Amino acid sequence: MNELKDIDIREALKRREARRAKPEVPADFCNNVMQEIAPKKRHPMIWRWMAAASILLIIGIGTMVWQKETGEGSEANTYVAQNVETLPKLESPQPPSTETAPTEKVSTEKASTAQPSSAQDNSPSPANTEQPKTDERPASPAEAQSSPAENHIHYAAVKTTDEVPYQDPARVDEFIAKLADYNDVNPVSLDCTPGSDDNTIVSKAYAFDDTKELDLFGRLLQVACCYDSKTPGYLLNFSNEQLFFTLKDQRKGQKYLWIAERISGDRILLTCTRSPIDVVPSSACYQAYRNKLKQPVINNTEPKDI
Amino acid sequence: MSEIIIDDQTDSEQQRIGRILGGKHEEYAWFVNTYSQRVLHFASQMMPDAEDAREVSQDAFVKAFRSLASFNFQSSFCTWVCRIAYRESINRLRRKQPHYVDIADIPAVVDDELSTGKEERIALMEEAIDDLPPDERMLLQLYYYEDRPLREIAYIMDVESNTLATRLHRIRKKLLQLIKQKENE
Repeated sequence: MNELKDIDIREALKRREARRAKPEVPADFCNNVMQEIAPKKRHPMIWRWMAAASILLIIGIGTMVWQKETGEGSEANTYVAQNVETLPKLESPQPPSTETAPTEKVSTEKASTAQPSSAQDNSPSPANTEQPKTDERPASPAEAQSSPAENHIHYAAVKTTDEVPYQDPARVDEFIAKLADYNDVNPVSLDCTPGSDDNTIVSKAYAFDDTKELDLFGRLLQVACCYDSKTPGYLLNFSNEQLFFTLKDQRKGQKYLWIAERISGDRILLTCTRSPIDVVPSSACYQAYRNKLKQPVINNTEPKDI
Repeated sequence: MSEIIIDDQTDSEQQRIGRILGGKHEEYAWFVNTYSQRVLHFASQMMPDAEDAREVSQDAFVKAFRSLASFNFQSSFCTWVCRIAYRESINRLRRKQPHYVDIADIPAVVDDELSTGKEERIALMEEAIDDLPPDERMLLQLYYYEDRPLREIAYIMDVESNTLATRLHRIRKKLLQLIKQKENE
């Protein structure tokens, strides 16, 4: 690097610097800087608290609304589904009829009570809590003749207190069959219509050992309690010696009858009868089979057909 | 990097900075008032536009204040702020002028000596300096005009001293080439 060169460069830079307009520091320069660095008032904390309070308020309101919805929801929502389906029908002059609509509403509370309290077996619960509901009330004339505008009324305004969730009574039979199978009790088919071709009546009898472990009466009571007391044909009567339970399935036009009775030899005779609603089954077949069981020679595990 | 410059006011600067860090933010006004002219002049060499230079200087002071706790007194406060202003200028120039002509793209020229004493050549050199990119012009300015030590320039520009020396050599060659081009025009 040559000294002379440096002198030339310095000279050039000096001249350049001399002709260049030097910027003046603005009067507010210092103020601007000091304003920039000044600690700003901290409102964010207040905003954070307000935001948190707002969120909590929204959650609280949402929870209240949700609880209110779920409290009435199981029935109200079902009615919405039904209403949606029935609305077009109501506009036509057809006679009122029983309407059914599937719904996914589950009665969890009832499902929990359907579980057997004893853990000694793994027999399933008979209560079918995921069944669709049935509105068994025929549409009232006033409702059927109401104007379309009235039919589109909001579901929240409709009271559905008479509506009963559909529960299949046949699940009781299934429960009893599995319970019998688990306890090695064979069913005996009873012919309650001797001399006739009527095979609409199906009747079975089981002779269970009357043991504390099995607790058949208690289990049957639990099963009966799984059903809504407003279920058509619901009738439950029991004592220490006998349990009587009936249900009707208006969808299938069937009625069900279960009779459990303590008989001699520490056994419980359980008869299950299914028949059309309009048919009255005879009780003679039960009595005949019961009398046979009362005889000491009868083996309850392999009962003979009557 | 070792200590570069110890100004007369270093002791008082250190004390003032200590007080600022202790919470007396108003003490920072002294630094701004004392060094704003120098920093603004420095920035104006990088940023031809006066408003840009002012913004760069202001941002440099603000950033310096926010990083005051990390200032380790390796240099004077003014040099430190100039370093910040230089980075800020480079960042702004990059945003404004994304394309730079790389020095390596300039064809090498023979290391002819620059003649001295010729007014014409000095005038041409002035023009050639104006044609240089801002960072190269700044390097010439700091080294030849302000006579800052290479280590201090390296600190401001955040490059190694050896790299700066090489860069200076290339800038001189480039300058010579530009002058020759102007002479031929």
